Amino acid sequence: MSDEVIRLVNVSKVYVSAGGVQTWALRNINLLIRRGEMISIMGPSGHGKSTLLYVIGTLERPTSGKVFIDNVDTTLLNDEELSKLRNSKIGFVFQQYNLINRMTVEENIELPLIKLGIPRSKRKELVRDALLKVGGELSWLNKRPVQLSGGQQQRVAIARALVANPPIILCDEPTGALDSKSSEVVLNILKKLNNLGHTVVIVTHDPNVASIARRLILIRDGSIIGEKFI
Amino acid sequence: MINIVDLLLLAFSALRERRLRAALTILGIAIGPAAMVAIIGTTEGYTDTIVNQLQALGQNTVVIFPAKDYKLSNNDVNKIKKLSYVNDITPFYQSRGQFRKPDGTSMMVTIYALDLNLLNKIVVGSKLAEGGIPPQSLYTNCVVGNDVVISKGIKYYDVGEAITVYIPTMKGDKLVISSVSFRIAGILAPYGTVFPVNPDASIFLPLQAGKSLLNIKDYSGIFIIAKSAEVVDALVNELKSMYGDNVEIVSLKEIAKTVTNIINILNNLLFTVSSISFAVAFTGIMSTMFTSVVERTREIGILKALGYSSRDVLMLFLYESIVMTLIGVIIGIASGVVGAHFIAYRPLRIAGSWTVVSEPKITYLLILRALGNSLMVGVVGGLLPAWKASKMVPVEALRYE
Ligand SMILES: Nc1ncnc2c1ncn2[C@@H]1O[C@H](COP(=O)(O)OP(=O)(O)OP(=O)(O)O)[C@@H](O)[C@H]1O
Ligand SMILES: [Mg+2]
Repeated sequence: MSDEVIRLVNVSKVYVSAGGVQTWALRNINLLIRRGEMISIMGPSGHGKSTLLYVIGTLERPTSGKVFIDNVDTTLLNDEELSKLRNSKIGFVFQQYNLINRMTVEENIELPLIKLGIPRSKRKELVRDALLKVGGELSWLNKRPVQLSGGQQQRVAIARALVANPPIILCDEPTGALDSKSSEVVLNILKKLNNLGHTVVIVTHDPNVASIARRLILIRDGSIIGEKFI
Repeated sequence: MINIVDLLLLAFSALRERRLRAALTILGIAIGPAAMVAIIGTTEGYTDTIVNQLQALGQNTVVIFPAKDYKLSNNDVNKIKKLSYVNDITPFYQSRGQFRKPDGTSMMVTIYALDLNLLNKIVVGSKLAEGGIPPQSLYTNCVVGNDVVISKGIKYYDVGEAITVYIPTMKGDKLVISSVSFRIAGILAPYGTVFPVNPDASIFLPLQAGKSLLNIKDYSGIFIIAKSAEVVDALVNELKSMYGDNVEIVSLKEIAKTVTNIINILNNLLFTVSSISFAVAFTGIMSTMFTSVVERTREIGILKALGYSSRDVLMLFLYESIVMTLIGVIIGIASGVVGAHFIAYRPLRIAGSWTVVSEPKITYLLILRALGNSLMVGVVGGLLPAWKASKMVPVEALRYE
């Protein structure tokens, strides 16, 4: 197995508004992330952090350049293939948790497993495992997300991101909506997942959050302007 | 691949969240199959009954009536008798009369004077319940329909008794009501009302009575029994060329055909009308699903981030409209069946005393048609919103925070 898990080559992303105005969200990004790395991407608001994360996560196609996941050129894949790749290899954690409120915690967490076609009984087991891994309680399973605190919801969201055991976990401001105590819990979970072998990428504008990663990438105006190892 | 059971469960979960809207949409879907099954089921039931009645009357009979100033005579009877298609023939006199039953009710009857030996060929399948056919010479003797002697289960007359009927007759140039008495020689078994005659409310006399008792100068018409139903058309053509516009020719076969045609047109019309309710269901599904797609933009983005493809999202939304359609169609067909029985429960009055009571006829084909129409409406109406959902860009949905 190769050491490399994510590689971006000359990736640019240009948004063209309805009026024809071009926004260069990413300019010529070259980035290599190794298996098992924990990495923070830091930069001010509106400078392309989320865009970079979405491009890595194949939710967004680059305007130019190439994105390799596990040595596969994802820019050559069609929608169905990209979905499969996201389903099995990438877990997303968002600032606003992005849980589906009409579903129970259990139903939310099992969503990636349904797509994988895993049978019902096996799913229940995996959902429990994932929830316990993030320090959740089994009593949450039948609750709706809104019945939980923000920190608890974010833990459920992380459980959903890791339930299919993807090698890559991508987090966009995972503590952005949380108080400092909950933030600490969440960051510890991410750290733990990294220790378990997941490659974790965290996007943030908060230096305290960024500092949990050994590797720090600074982004400004869509370009990487620096890299630090702590 | 997402398991079909999971797709259904996800669809249910989404519908449950918007219960009221889903229920209203389902109601809208149910109206189409309900209307279709109730209306078409009822009319097809009636159609069957009517056509069966007409056919029971025999398809061999042709009747001619004088038209314009033409007068039918024995000459005509003899001429027609010679035609190769003709098996039997009898001229007849016809009149309407009224009589009062012993219980005080009055009844309208049709009176025919004709060769009584041909009675069971003209009123095909008629049987005598009591008595017998009087000989031609005893022209004051009659055979009566069942309703004439029986009213509400009580029999008022027996064979051998006399009944008095009031008949309009011409005295010179004046129309007068005169009373005529007949002796009942035979009573027909109940026959059932049949278009265009009602044997149960008729009195049949020997031919001679027409002139002697009813005071009718000329024949009212001629009953002709063809050799078979197949030659009826040829016979009608021959009569047409013989008489041109001088007589009106009525064949029961023709009537059955015409009635069937009219009913078919009616059925098509009703089918079209009930199809309109499917159009209503179509717009209902479409707007419900479009609203749902817009409201669930974020959910679509989440699903795509979790690895659901555009096709998966399309299927998810399509299943929601299919689930609603299936529920609606089951409710619709069930209430259509109940409705059809409810409508058919009341007798259909067609003309005069001719009423039809019939079980609704709900065929598998009808149910399949209702189901097929609804499913098409559900799939086509759900497809465009589902397609819109599948094309949603996930990132735009997720960025909105
Ligand atoms: N769909 C879009 N159309 C046009 N411009 C866009 C679109 N999405 C993002 N942008 C622009 O791209 C740039 C980068 O946006 P991005 O969301 O990646 O920034 P960010 O660093 O994540 O900011 P924040 O910290 O506020 O989340 C911004 O200028 C933004 O306005
Ligand atoms: Mg962002």
